[in-house]
Amino acid sequence: MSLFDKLQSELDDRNEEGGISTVDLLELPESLRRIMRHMLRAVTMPRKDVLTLVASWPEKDRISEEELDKALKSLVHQGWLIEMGEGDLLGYRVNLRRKKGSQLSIFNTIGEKIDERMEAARKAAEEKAAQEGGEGTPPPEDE
Amino acid sequence: MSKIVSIHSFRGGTGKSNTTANLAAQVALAGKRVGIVDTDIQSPGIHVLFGLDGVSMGHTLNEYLRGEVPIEEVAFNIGDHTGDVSGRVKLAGQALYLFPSSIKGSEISRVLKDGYDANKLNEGLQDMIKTLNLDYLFIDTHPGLNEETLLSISISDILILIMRPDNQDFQGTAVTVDIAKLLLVDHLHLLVNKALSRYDFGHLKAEIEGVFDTPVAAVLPLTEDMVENASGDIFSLAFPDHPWSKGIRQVVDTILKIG
Ligand SMILES: Nc1ncnc2c1ncn2[C@@H]1O[C@H](COP(=O)(O)OP(=O)(O)OP(=O)(O)O)[C@@H](O)[C@H]1O
Ligand SMILES: [Mg+2]
Repeated sequence: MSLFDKLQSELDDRNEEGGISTVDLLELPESLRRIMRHMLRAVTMPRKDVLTLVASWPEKDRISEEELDKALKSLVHQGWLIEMGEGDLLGYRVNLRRKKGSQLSIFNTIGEKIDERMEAARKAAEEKAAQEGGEGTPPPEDE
Repeated sequence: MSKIVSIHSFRGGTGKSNTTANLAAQVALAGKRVGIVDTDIQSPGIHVLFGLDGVSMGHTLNEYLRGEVPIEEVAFNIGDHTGDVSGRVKLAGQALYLFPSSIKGSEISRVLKDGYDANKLNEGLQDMIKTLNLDYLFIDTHPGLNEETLLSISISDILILIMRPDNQDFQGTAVTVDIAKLLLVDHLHLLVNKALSRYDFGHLKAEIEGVFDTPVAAVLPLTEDMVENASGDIFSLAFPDHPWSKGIRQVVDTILKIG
């Protein structure tokens, strides 16, 4: 793959997969970072709780309800928040970007082999223990 | 309110897993309900300190992330399975639960190859707290700044950042401190581990606090006794009078005071 193709496919992935990465989170203004953090803890956060949270901030940090709704809308539009319910039940949850897998990991080729070796080593240790321990101990059960 | 405590370091091998296990065990002994989760899915380790192996571990975070089991089935009740080593046995009957990551090569390869749903990981962490009614959830992390780590930092009430008094640790720790501050962690503490006994610990603490503008919860000595323990037991329970254990209890006091 040429460098351009690679870059393009990376960009496509970014758009396709959607959701916010923690790096995106770091780039948000502080008020939104604070809100997102609470949403992550709450998993789903009713809009009225967001308002209560903002009202609890020192005056200089507070944002107006109008501003807040605008910001929440734009985060929803970006796919970083998911809106749930409506009216009094309106709430939000953070949509985290899926952790991407990699075909390049060495584990892809050696993962199973490691298991086989571990299993063989475990069996050998058990047999040895059984031989040394005599009849008293029952043979270990297999999984 | 339940508290999430993440233990992290920019570089590997600083003592995260040993520290997490010891802090969690001490907090459980203080009568709190405690969970520990191993988010180091590519190189899990903390289960060893609690005497678990691939056979005894039962269900893992990996299976939860694939949607195969609910999170409560991943919880391993340590208070009921302490074994008889001298430190761990003191945990008998305590409410201490480990959420292990799989140590099977094939499972590790699968999660690295397929990735996972980060929303599900977060939901799992929050669910652990709810279903087991935890006072504290300790998160043992993979070193460096990857997605799991950043997620765990961004949901933490308390972040303990471990560093060795080594020039290689300084820069990375500075970056991590900045990120933790951006992520608005309420209580950020540094923990210095593996400090040479001949150093003046008070002086070292003051110096590091000055450099990072962040409190140092304790300075723990480098000690052959820890190496000899070889992560086989909870050191501060087995050797409560050891200087390393006293330092750990200092950090525990800090954590318990936060609430
Ligand atoms: N204060 C200490 N003095 C001497 N050895 C220590 C000390 N603290 C930890 N160790 C040893 O350092 C090694 C690494 O410890 P541990 O596994 O807890 O670190 P870690 O940060 O979790 O590592 P990783 O980054 O690989 O997950 C272990 O062998 C442990 O016994
Ligand atoms: Mg570790």
